[in-house]
Amino acid sequence: MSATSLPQTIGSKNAHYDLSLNHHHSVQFYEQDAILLDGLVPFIGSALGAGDSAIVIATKVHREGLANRLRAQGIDISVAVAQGRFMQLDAAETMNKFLVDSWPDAKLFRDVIGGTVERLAAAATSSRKEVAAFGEMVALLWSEGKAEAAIRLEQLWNELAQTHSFKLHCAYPIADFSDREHSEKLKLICAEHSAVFPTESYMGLVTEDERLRTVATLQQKANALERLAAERERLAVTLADEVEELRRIHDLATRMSWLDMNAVVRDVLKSVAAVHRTEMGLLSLRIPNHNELYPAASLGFSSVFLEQIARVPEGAGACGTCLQTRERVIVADTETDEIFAPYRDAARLAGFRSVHSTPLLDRSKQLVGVLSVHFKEPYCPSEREQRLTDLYARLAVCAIENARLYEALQDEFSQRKQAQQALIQAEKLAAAGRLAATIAHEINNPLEAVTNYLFLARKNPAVPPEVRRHLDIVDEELDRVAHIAQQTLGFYRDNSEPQYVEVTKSIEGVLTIYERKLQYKNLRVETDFTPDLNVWVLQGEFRQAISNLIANAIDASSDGGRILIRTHIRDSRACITIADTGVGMAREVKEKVFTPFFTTKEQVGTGLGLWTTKTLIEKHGGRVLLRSKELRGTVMSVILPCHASS
Amino acid sequence: MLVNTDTTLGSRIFALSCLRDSGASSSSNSIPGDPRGTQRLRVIVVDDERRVADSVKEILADSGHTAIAAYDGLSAVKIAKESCPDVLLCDVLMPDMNGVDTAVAVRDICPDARVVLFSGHASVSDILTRARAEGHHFEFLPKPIRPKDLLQKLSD
Repeated sequence: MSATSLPQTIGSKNAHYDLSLNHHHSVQFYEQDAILLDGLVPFIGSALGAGDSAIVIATKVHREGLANRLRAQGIDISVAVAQGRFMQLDAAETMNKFLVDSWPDAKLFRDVIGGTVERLAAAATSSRKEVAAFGEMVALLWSEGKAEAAIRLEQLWNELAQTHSFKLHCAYPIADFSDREHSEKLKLICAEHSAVFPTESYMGLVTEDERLRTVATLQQKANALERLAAERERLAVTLADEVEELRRIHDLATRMSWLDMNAVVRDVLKSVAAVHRTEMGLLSLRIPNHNELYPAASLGFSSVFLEQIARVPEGAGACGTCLQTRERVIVADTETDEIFAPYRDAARLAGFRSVHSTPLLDRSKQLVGVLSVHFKEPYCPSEREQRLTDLYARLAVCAIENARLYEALQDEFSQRKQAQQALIQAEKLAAAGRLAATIAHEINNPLEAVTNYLFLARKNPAVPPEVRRHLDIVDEELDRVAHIAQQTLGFYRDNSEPQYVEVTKSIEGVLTIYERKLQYKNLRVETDFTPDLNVWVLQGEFRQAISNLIANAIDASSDGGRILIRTHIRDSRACITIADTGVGMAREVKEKVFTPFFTTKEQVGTGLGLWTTKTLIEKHGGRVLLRSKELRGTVMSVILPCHASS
Repeated sequence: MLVNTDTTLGSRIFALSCLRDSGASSSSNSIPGDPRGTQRLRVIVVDDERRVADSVKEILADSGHTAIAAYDGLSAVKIAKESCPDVLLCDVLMPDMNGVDTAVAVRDICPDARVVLFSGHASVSDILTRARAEGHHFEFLPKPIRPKDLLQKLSD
């Protein structure tokens, strides 16, 4: 069978490639190797049959497959090879001869491929001396992902065609073009070719009608694919969003243990605003035991607006409605929704047009707050936005509950600590009190006997004057001992009943006790008494209280100092002021001065004087006030319910 | 114990009150030489501290009063049964029978007797408060009592 008897069309009845036309650089996309090879047989066979030359630069499998097919067609390629008209080259090896750093070098290409084409053309026996070439180097580059290099190589072939006469057929497996981004590159490859043959499933169609129908089907498929791709892209974005959201939620959840409610609440609000792609939001908490909300965290609102909503009652706006109904409130447009009728001006000023409010409900379904986001334009949140907001709301509730429980725990703890300390203090005091009372008792009995016998001894007219003088001194000193025992050790308690006590008389009585001490320290006492000022007290306790204050004033004063005692009525209460010009108290002393057993008089103080005074005065419904400045002096004021005689 | 004796001693109480009347008439006498004209009083002084009881008795005697010292509540009640005092001066904290119980018993016998309790112990306020709650109102002086104050108190 001669080569010329071969049909000028390539391929089987399924693939209809017409290479008879003078396409100097054609490209074919194929699905199956067999179809490609079947199509090449007439292309190469007819060239060789016509006395032209041919070159095949392909993979080993394709070279062998083609050779087998040519032999099966009765074409003796060995003669053509011997004549130098037919060459079969390995695609990868040939390519490596002109690739520099994976890029086709123009000069090397021209040398290698140009030289080969020239030699083949020279060997042709036909008068036109044409060369038919089949090349797969570009397909190889493409499959390696070097699309640019493949296109460059196509261009080099086209440049070579300017100076050399050949017909070049390229082939790419369509399977290598399955990615979406390949479509642009496919167009570029096609642009480098004078003819493009789609795959055999299209080329195999015989009639125009069949082809048109197929085009319609393919168009539909392409359209569907485009849609699918777009959907896929959208899903990818959504997925990324969801992953981001999950990350945020996870992040927040791990920070629940922070116990810093404000920080978590702020983050929740930011996240919810981000979910809605808005920059305004408000997280309000319910004022405990009130049906009102106060802003705990805000985003994008002025301080003026926040002041306006410092207390939001039930039913006011979206938040107030949410507080009332305990359900989600969506105000898609504040200008049309009736809820906002009274608040439109406020909304306009604050700069929002729509609101999405979600209740924050705790485990027992009690409302702890409201989480709201605001939008500049009318808007209705999507199902996803609502769902995510609910999720964040639960996180916020957890944070709030955590923080409140922690706070309650701390309160409880510090209360217990305080109670415990008070108990210890009270027990200490009681023990000291029992001890003091016992000692006082033991001292008072012998003291009583001594006092009495001294009294009798002094009355004896037979006592010489010198001895009498000594006994007088003993009597005075005994008075002091009795006073100390009674006032200090005895925690003196009056056993009588309350009565009207004249303040002036009481103070004067106390001053008599301290007469010697005042003289000794050269202290001047200035008094300013309101006459007829009476208080309803236990006389002994009142005297004790005043006595302690005067004793302190004396102790604080330095030699030659002044003590001012003033009584007056203020707001129908008796006010007794005892001021000294003494050493005064430092701040830390002032803080502790009413504490039992606190004393600055290390040698002589019991640390009970002011505590006793405060206790006694408060028992009578009064107060003890203290003002003091270091090195300047101290002012103690006793304020008691006043019963001034008319 | 005292309540029982109360009922059986009804007639004797009457007799005692006669005695007391005579005592009261004697106490209306002025102490000679006392410029204030203080009344002579019949006083029972009770304290388990003998020296306290004795010294108070001496001071009172020195001031012209009739004073009898007792060192426990029961003796005081016995003395009161024989002759009602104008004043019972009684320590609060004593063994066996405390001052309040003694005073209540003496008051049962001598309803007109004035009672002045005294103590050197701060915690007696509880005992006195309880007594007040039960309707017994007694005067009180904290120890040590200055003799001047005591005599002043009696002349009030």
